[in-house]
Amino acid sequence: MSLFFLRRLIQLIPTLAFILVVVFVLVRLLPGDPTSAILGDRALDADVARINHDLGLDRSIPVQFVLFLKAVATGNLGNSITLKLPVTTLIAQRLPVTVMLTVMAALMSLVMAVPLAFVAALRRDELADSAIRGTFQVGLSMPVFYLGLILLTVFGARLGWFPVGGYGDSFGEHIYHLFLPAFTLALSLAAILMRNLRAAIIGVVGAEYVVFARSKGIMPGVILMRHVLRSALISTVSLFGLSVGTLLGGAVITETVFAIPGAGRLMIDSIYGRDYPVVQGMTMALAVVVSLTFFLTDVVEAWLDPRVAR
Amino acid sequence: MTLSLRQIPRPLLLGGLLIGASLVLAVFPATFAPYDPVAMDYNALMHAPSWAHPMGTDNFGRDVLSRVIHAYTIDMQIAFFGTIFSFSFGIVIGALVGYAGGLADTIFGRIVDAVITFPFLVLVIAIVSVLGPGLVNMYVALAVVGWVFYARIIAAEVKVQKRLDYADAGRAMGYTPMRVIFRHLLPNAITPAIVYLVTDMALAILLGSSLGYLGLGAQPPTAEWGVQIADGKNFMTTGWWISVFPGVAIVLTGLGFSLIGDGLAEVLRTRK
Amino acid sequence: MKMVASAALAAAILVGGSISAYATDRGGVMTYGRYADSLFLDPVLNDANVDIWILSNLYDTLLLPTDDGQGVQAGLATEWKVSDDGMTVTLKLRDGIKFSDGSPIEASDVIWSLKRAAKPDNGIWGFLVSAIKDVTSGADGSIVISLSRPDPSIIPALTVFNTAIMPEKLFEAMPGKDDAEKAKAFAEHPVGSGPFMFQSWERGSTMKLVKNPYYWAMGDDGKPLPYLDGVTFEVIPDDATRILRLQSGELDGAEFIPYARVAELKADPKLDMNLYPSTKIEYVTLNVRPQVDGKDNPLSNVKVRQALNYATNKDAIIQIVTQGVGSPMKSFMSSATPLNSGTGPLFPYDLDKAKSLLAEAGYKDGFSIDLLVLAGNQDETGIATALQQMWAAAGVKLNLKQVDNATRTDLYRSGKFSMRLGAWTDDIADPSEITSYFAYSPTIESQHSGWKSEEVDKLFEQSQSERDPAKRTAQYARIQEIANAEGPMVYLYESPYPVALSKKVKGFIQIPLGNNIFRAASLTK
Repeated sequence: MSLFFLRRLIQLIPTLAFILVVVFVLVRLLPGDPTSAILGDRALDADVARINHDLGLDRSIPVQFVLFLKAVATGNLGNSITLKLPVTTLIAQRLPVTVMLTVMAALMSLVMAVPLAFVAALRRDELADSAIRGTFQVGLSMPVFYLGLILLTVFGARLGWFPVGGYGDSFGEHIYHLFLPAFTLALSLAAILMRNLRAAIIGVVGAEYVVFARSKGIMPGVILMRHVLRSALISTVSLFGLSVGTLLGGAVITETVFAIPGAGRLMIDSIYGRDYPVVQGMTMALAVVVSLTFFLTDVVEAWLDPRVAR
Repeated sequence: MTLSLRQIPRPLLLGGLLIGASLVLAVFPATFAPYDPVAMDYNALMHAPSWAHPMGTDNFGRDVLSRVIHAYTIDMQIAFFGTIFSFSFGIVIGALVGYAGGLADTIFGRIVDAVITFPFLVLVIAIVSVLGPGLVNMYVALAVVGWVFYARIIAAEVKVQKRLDYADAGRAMGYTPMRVIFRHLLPNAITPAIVYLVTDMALAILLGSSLGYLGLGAQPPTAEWGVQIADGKNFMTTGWWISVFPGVAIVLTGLGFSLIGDGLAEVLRTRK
Repeated sequence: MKMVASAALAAAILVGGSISAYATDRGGVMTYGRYADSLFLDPVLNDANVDIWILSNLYDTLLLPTDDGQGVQAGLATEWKVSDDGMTVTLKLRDGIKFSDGSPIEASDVIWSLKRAAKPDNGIWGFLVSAIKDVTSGADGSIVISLSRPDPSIIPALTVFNTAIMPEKLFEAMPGKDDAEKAKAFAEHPVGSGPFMFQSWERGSTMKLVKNPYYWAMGDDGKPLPYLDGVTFEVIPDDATRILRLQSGELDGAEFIPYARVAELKADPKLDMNLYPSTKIEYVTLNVRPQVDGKDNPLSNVKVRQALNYATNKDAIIQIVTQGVGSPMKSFMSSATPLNSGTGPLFPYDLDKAKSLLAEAGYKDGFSIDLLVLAGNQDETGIATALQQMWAAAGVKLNLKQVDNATRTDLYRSGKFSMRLGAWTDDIADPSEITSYFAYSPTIESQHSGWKSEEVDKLFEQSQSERDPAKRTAQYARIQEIANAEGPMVYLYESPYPVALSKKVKGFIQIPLGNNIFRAASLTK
């Protein structure tokens, strides 16, 4: 078992190396360059050439890549071209915000999805089932920016229960400020999880071994915990891991609507600004965090079903 | 095996009706739309719903009802093309990998990791920047990333299924691995993938709206619900009808897809 | 050109803005919602409006722009004089001026700052002060700027952010091997002599400025400005959230209110919805080269360009995109730009004329052409969608290409575009900046369009060292006459800066050049 985890960790290395190469090349394939992105329409050719030279962008891509690798080897991810700050500083500032948002959203989605999936599955086709699924469907169908705006209007501006966006200054304030955005993210994730889990539970409940267990007179509660939950959770956990991974990189719209200074927003700004060092560094940092999420998913999956770990 | 009408699960019937109606609107929008969806009327900017314009007009003086109807064509396309490539490719790869295990599984694991850990929006924006924005490029981006989700779901299921007795029986009877995989394992493992597919169809439409918010989705003046909602966001207080009606269309379509998903899951289970 | 300021014009009058019967309240921190964060707080090396438009609160300049953005008033210098031959500018520094750390502003700081701004290849704003040859200090402590040529725009140039006065010793003591590296270190915690000083900055989220206790200007109560204890900038990129935050009282002001919301906020009894006059213009740039991407380009024909202008219903666009707050352009430069010679709206909507011009040009059946639009920008997509409809009536099929800013800039700079939407604001109260980019071909080939008029080029060069204001006005009138009629543009509209403030806020202004001026702002208790 521990060998499985060790191997899983070592496997991260080629993945990250692959991502590093792809992102390095990809950003340079984009039309335009950092200089014209920063200087905008007014830039004179001479200014662009001079600044490109200063940034080393006039060298060939292989040369740039070797220089970049050398710098990375010494723990230096370079400086942001637009913000003039070390990329490591930016990661340290922005990544924790997004991670916190995502963790809160993930927890909220579990709290909503798991119990309701059971209720829906066990009261299948009854009123409760329809109500739960209908509500989630509406939540799932609302674009994040629209849902976010409605929540902000109602719970922020009208009722005053939550601040209207922003991030706050202390840990407690962060949690408070992130509640609505995390809920916004959680709702769609919960909807997906709930659907998947409900289907899985219905599948398992109908399976022979559960019917068998029931016929042997084992109490429903025990069946639920021992057999149903465990089996039903396998595919859900896998899906959960994947979705949380996507959330990390995809929280940008939530971050924009709620004015949260997170990694997603920085990432988009950096792509638009062709801020190569930031895109590279941030992609790597996100990749590490996402990989860790998958690693945890694997651990949980292996625990639920030891056969997966071989 | 055929199903009589009464045997069709209720969710499937209801979902089928919703999506069926959507498809009719998608194929014959002009028959149902009262106006040209892109025609502007400068004398009727942002009119509230009325008999002449049951869903009002937008800030360009375009009829919202006609735009919502014409958007069915685009959004049903997005639902289909945004998922079908991921689904087909993903389940095949997932089944093969789940069955083969070992090295194939390890390599697959690395690919999955690389694809999923790569921030999705970076990829979309990169693809769109190189190829230009538009729906086709959105499909490309979705397919490049989306297949992994199906593959992972199927692989996990197949891994479990292949250890069950019937798979061994299949092998013992001398069936080729391909036959075992696609005739026996996949049909048993596919339920979660199908359930995910229909959710994914609704998600594809939503992604269209997120990309619309960033200006990377359907291009103006094309009517598309997501873009309509994104455009109507500024008018939430002064012209709620611009964004609410396309929103209702998204919810109804999403509901239709998920009902079908649930119904299908039920049918597939019964067939087992 | 001769300009003498009287020292009497100093503090009280020029700063007060609104002279009310009530004493202005002091204290409080004003929280202002911005759509994007600043990037780099160096006056010389920055490149973006997000920096430029707030810099004057941190860094003071020798002279200041007036509130209408057209004139000049005293700043760190109380008197200024251009010599009769136009080759030197002499300025007298205000007595007792200090940086926000309490150290005195010496003539050496001024000389060093101006030389840094004028140094070729240092940043991208050097062209505004390219005439500066040397800066020295006179025997009486005055500042003497010697020019390489008479420069009619040198006085307004001394109000521009890049000529801000910085503390030489502090800057030079920063770590780093060259000016750029020192600037990076310095800009992390800048020190200037503006009405506010830097306190803290959470990138992408919050920037806090506090009152500079050493600021020279006096308020209408006879005590030093600013009235506020501080200004906090909050970055809220989403328009709707920014407004919501203002309405909930968490902000005292918010910039870039979408035009769609202006009427609604005007009706809000707790808010002041301001539309500050601006130098902002929206337009289409037309590539006029005979061929684009190897294909014949209809836009090379001046009649086609005029036809497109006539086929554009500006009033409808203004209604659709700005909800009526914009106004049609009268010249390629904004009405708030000095020496604008426009009299009435250019090319009033006339579809028949458009059609006949197209027919004359040999495009009776129209043509098909691409327009670059900034992806996700609601104003631009709105304009583009409307143009598509309007021009279709004249037979011109417009294909919209949404691209991101870097892509568009790249295509623009390489001349590989047919049409693009654009917006512009002036940085200096003088027509030379916009004219050099828009009509004078040597700078960037007239908006990278390939448009060239020998006469305009010659007139512009003359005007750049013309000392007689009347002659310069005439030169600019002729430049505009030619460029407006034949130039590489479709003229859309001018629009104000939409800023919503809480009713408590008094004395804040955004001047036509875009600068947000907080020095006389106050919060009513």
